[in-house]
Amino acid sequence: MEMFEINLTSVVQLMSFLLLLYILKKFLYDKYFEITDARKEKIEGEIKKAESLRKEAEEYKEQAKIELQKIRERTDEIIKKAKEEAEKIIIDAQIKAEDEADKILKSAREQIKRERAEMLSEVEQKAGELAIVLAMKILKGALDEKAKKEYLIKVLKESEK
Amino acid sequence: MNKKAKVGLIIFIVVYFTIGIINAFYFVPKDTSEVTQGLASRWIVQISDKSAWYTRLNPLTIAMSWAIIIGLIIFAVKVGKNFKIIPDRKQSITESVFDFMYEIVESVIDDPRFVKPTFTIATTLFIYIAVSNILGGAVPGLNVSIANGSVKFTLFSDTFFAPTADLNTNLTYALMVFVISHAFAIKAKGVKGWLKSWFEPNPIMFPMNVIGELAKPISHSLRLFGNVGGGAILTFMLSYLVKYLLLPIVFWGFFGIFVGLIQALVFAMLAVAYISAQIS
Repeated sequence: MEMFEINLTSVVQLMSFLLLLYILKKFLYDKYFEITDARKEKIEGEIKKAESLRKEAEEYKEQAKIELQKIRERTDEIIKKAKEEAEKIIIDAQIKAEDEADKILKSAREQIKRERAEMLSEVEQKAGELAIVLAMKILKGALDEKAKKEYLIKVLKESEK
Repeated sequence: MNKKAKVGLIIFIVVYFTIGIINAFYFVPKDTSEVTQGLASRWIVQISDKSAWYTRLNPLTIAMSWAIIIGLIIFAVKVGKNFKIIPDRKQSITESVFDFMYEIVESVIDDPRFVKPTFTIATTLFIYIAVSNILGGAVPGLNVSIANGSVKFTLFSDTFFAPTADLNTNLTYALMVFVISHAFAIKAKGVKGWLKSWFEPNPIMFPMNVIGELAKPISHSLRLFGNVGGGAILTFMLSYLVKYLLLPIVFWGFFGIFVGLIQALVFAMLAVAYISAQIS
């Protein structure tokens, strides 16, 4: 029954185990607890930091959204304005062009009228002059009756043109 | 596996086979009875003339446990010195073992005051017993046999002697756990509460409670002793039968790593369970 003998070895084993326990506690377990606590704290801190950063980022995102909306509205407005302006300009230009055309037409008509009047007065003058010349010739009697008639008709025809 | 490990393994295998062959042909007793004779005996040294329990020592147990303890201390100091928030490889291994143990202890022990002390005891028990079981079950090394009253040393014919294959070690640890569990119980419930717990649920149950409490360290220690000691004997016999030549790796793997680790875990878990049962 040597296998089951309990002797001084048990005391030695107990002491050596307690020594092992003490040294492991001092060098491993305490450090392990320390490090796990530190790691936990660090992770918690990082998570909190990340959370706050995320919130900040969300705020920025919201702000950017609002800003973008504003910019979009403004650009829409600008484009609308520009379109209106363009339309206005086109209409103005059309009106102006029509006016101009009217003016030009009017002035051309007036000119034609004036020229016609001038021509008429010129013709009248010439006719008068011719009449005078004719009268002079008649008066002078240098022409026979037939020549007189022919000449008169000719002059009249000319003046009618 | 790096180059250094490969070279080491090759050297080990060559040495192992050489010594195995020498063992098989020169040192192994031809007679089977000569081997089995010293199988159940222990190398016990008497340090004084008087023969009593306090004068007799098992030198092999003490030597092996000191070798393991020194190895563990060196590892602990080395790893513990550069414990960092961002772990390296050794620290990760250590931490994963500790995390594993800590989670179990935390889930079993209700009182948060006792989680850390219980963890310390259980983890130390687990590490020590696991290393000792693996060394004694799976690593071939120095073997000491007692034949006809004389001590005989052989190398690589069997695995190292596990300190846990000696009842001295196991019973000491089991009794230590027993004492610690009752000390924690006194601390948790006070002396009155502790005394009262012996008479629960009914004063008639007192003898039952005493027997139940006393059975705990006995079953605790004998379970480990039976597993490791029996495994060692089986491995030894089977190794002898194959003349140490064919690698008895299967037995070593089974009795050393598999049974050894499980028994180490069981021992540690039972320690936690006993403490938990006492303090709750």
